[in-house]
Amino acid sequence: MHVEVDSLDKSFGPTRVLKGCSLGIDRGEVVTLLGPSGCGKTTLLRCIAGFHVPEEGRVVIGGRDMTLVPPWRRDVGMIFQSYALFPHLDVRRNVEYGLSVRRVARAERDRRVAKAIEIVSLGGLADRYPSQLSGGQQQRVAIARVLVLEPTVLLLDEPFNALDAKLRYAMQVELRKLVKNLGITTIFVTHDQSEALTLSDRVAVMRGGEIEQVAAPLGVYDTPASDYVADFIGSANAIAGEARAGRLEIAPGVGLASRVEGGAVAIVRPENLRVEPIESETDDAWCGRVGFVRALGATVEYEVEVPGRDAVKVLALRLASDDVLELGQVVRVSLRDPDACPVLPAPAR
Amino acid sequence: MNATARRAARPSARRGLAEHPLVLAMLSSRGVGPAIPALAYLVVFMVIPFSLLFSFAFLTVDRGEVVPWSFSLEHFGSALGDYLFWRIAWRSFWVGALSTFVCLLLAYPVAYLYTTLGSVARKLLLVAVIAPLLTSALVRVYAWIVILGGRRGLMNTVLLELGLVERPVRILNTDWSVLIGMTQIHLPFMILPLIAVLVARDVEIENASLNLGAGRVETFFRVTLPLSVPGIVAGTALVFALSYTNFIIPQLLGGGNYTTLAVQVYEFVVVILDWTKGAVRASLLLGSCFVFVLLIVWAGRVATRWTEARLS
Ligand SMILES: Nc1ncnc2c1ncn2[C@@H]1O[C@H](COP(=O)(O)OP(=O)(O)OP(=O)(O)O)[C@@H](O)[C@H]1O
Ligand SMILES: [Mg+2]
Repeated sequence: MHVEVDSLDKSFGPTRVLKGCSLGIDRGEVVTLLGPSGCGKTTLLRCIAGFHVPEEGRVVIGGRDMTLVPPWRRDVGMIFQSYALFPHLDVRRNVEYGLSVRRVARAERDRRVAKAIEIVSLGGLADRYPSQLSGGQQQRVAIARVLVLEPTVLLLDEPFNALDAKLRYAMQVELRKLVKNLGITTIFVTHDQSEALTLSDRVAVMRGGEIEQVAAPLGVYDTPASDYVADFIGSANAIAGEARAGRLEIAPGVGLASRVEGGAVAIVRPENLRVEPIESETDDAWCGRVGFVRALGATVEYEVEVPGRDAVKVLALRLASDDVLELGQVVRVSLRDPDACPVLPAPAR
Repeated sequence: MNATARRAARPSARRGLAEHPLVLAMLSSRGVGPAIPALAYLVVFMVIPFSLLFSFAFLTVDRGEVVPWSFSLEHFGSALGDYLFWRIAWRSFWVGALSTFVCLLLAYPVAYLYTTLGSVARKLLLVAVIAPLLTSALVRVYAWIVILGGRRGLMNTVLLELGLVERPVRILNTDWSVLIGMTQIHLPFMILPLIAVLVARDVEIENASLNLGAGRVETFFRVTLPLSVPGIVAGTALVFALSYTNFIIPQLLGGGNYTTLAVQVYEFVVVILDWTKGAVRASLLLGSCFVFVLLIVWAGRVATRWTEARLS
């Protein structure tokens, strides 16, 4: 089902949490909401699920204006940040809940419950109460409880937080397969970038109650709409300067083609930089001293302190035969591919 | 003994008291130690009087003196074999049970309302609930007499003025007045435990129910109500015990002839001075009350078996 969120405004008392938030999601698409804590991700999901009524704007699901429709008539499944299982019902009756509310016939109910429990591999635990389950198991009950209803829209609020890395990865893959097979339009909130990049068709980056950019996972990485997005997705050197005649000089002798005139900021990814040791610093090149080294095995991260400018982050691939640069070593920094550096208008501050 | 020795001796004497095994046991954080003062209080002011009361039910007491070697079960036998006793016991029970049920019906919406209010309104509501407890129950019973009583009482005046009735109705000195009084006086004891359990509930669980397609009413009966059973049990047990054993309300609001077990105990002990008969009825009243409370708690346990389930 196509989901359209149209310039939503939502305030809690004096604090305006959503500020004209707009987002369109195609049928069967998986979209991740990324953003710092408190930027309004949960609030947006709750507006779509119907727990909050926005002061302004509309929520349209499958062509119907749902802004004022109560949550129980929306056919939008939600998986809560805290799971919110029914503590007084065992796993089977938790999963059965929505079917029993809809007065589905006994035989069909049993069949669908059994199938949903099997999909999330909770077969042996159907008679347990939520308090007898681990965090990961509870989370799978929450997923089964919603999937058994075959909703057209699925909302997940940081569902994998309680899982260890391995189970987390397995669940991500499983979930993506599941919603893709069933063609469920999915909105997924996460703090974890790699989760966002692996799981979704498109990534929406939120900032202070607005959607800053929506694009394919590599799109937000390669062509961020702002230095905020660039900094939020992956790591980036945001180098500010004055662009003149289609060129932005980010260091002595290093220029980038720019469509922006005047105040501009270049986004230079650390892996797009290279460092070579040199004898001494010169004024007419991009030079500095290694201020910080983080050797991670396959890669090494350097922070190069450049006199009179911001320090730059450099990411180098490393083989066992390579030497890791020493702290304080004088280096020359150079760009691998000048065309891979987006130049954006300087943010109005 | 010189001054230095005395100074040295004094603290050690104090330490001697502080190291007394009883004091140490009270200060230890394990076992029954810390409960010793409360236990002592209960033994002196509850266990001993109750045992005396209970033993009087087996003895003959003549003009305030126990007749020696008069132990017998016949006092119990004659009470239990008496048709009138059972009629009175039945009235005690149904008045207590019905007023408890009405209390529950009235209290639940109030407690629920409380959880939906802002902090200022909550405080005001709490004050309104607790304020009646600050006045004596006796005063409130007399207030009910003024309201319900007589052809020119407040109640009849209002009903007549509004034209709802043609002739003054008789409410005072009937089952109704007793029920009304008991319900009003015991209502706070139902509201408070319900507030406690409803305030602590996780609203997200109700949201999950709404999200799964249940409307507000269905969510209330499927989720909110079952999860509040512990508060219902606490309030019900409390109010039933209070109503079942209350003697002021039936006596004053029921008129002189409205007899319940508790009223009988009062009359036998204070008016007729037949302590044996009084003790028999008091023992039966307390014993049955205890059984009923246990039944309520047991029913609650059955309804909340899920709380016992723990990760195994
Ligand atoms: N019911 C509420 N009443 C008052 N303020 C609220 C309420 N719900 C959320 N807020 C505020 O709205 C802002 C956004 O909250 P929201 O829960 O949407 O953030 P979030 O992006 O989901 O954050 P997180 O990543 O930490 O979950 C926060 O500043 C929060 O304090
Ligand atoms: Mg959140």
